[in-house]
Amino acid sequence: MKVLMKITSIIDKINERVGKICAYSVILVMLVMVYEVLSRKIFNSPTIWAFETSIMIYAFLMIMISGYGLLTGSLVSVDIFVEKLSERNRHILSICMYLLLFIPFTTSMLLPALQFALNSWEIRELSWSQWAPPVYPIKTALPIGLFLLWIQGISQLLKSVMYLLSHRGEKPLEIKEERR
Amino acid sequence: MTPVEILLITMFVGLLIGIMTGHPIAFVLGGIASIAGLIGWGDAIFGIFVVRIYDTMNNYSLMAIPLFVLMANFLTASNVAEGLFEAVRYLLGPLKGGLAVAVIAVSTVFAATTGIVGASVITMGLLGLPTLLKNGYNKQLAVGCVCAGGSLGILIPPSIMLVVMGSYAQLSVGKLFLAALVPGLLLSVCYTIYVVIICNVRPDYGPPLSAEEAAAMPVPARIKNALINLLPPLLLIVAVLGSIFGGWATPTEAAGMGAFMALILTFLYRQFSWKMVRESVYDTAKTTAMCFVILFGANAFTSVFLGMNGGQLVERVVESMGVGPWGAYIIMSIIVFVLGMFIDWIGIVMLVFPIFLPIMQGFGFDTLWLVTSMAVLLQTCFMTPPFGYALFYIKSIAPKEITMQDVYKGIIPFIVIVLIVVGITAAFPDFVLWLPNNASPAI
Repeated sequence: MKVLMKITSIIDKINERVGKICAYSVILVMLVMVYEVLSRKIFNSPTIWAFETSIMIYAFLMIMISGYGLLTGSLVSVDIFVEKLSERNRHILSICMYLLLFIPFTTSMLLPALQFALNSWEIRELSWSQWAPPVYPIKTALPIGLFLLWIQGISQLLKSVMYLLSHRGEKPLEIKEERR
Repeated sequence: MTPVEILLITMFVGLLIGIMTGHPIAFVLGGIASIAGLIGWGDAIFGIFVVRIYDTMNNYSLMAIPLFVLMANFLTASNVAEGLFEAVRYLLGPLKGGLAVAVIAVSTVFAATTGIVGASVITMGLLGLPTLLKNGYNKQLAVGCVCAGGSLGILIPPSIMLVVMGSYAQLSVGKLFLAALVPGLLLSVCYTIYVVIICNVRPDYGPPLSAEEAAAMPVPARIKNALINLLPPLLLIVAVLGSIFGGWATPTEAAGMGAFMALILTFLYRQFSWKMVRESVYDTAKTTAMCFVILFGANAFTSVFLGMNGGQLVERVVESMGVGPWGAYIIMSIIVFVLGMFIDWIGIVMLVFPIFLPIMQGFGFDTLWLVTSMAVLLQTCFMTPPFGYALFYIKSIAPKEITMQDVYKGIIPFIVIVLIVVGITAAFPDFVLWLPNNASPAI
């Protein structure tokens, strides 16, 4: 139990930190956009780097905050049907769903994503544009972001397990319902 | 039935059951895609999921989403809507139902500066609802017009929904913005007409501003105040929408500029603080994660579904019904409407568009018109019980005497109005297509 608590609190802290720090990159994207528009329209000298730089920062932003999104409960789910269940049954259902749906989806992507990034490192892949920045850093963010999402899912799963462990045998009535 | 068809149908059944369990929809979609993909395709499918995520990361038009969200958050923090509502309320208050019209009018202006629903529903709920109730407005009418007005945020451009739709239907986002402009404004006008009519038929629904409150501000001051407070949002609208429609900037660039200008507005309205920036940024991250994680799952789902020729299966089913093009349009609308009762727009767009757009194109419908028509119809997904976002937002901030019953009853007339406007766009496609067809070729 203590171990579980420790694990979930570490995971939650990691994603909270990473999410909050990476969240600021939206300000960078904004500034790059402003710079590009001003230099093109007012100074009449479009940059060659702004387009790809902004895409890279945005790509970094969206992949790195997915774990934070799950942590803060921002992801959309439909709870009207399960609202009527007891808290205990809701946690049991949640564990089943994490095992059945979340884990297969995210786990199966971890290795391919890592391979995807490694391939890019191997050939030192560059972008096709005139500016030709390296692509591998942003491709590296992909497995890292997915990993953050994966551990956050594990943490959510463990929180439900912890709830069940700490409320063991409290409400026999509902256990009967569960068997039925 | 072939085994593949059975698998496809199982995917849809699993999807419905999975969504009902309250698991995040993103992972319901992704999880089912993983299992079905592994059975029908083998483990090469996971590499495809990863490539699809990378495509999303490289999608220039989708970059507008976090920027529009940031803009909306700065704008909400700047309290520009407060000033505007205060001014318009005195201007329209003396009319029967005038305050409700003021709510809709301010919502419309706010909608033309933001691209999301949450911000406008909450802002109008916090500003408009207490004022309406204090002045003796009918509870249900008050809730209904705040919900309906607030939901306009995602239809009237700029709109993150139109950004996603444009990116998935391979349409120019700028053109889609133009196409949605007239139906969005039409909807707002229809809401206004309804409110004015009902308040004149039933004067107790929306009494005019009381004499002593009206006396607090003379008429010339009202007009002056309204104009002054209208200026900042109007400048923002001209800068953002004007630069997109004029072909000056891409929607993504305009979103970046808009966010920057909204940040400047927070200075001008003396609301700037580092705390405000921090909270806006965190909130933007949460909304962005909401949109993009669901894209991961939905992309995976549609890759598997379409890869196993699920599109053709749906096409055959629709054709075998023998309902013709308009029948197919009605079927698509009904599916969107019913899904809207349970899931939000992004899930609906991701599920319905990849499957139905090719079919509808086969029937000879104009994609730009069809997508816009669906965008108008998707207004209902915020408003239809049991699961409408606007309804939940409003319930969470409304005073206790407003029950969920009131919210449900109050919203029904507005849902009917949305359906009427959808019908108008279907009967007169020029409402949608005239502006984009006569626009500058640069967008």
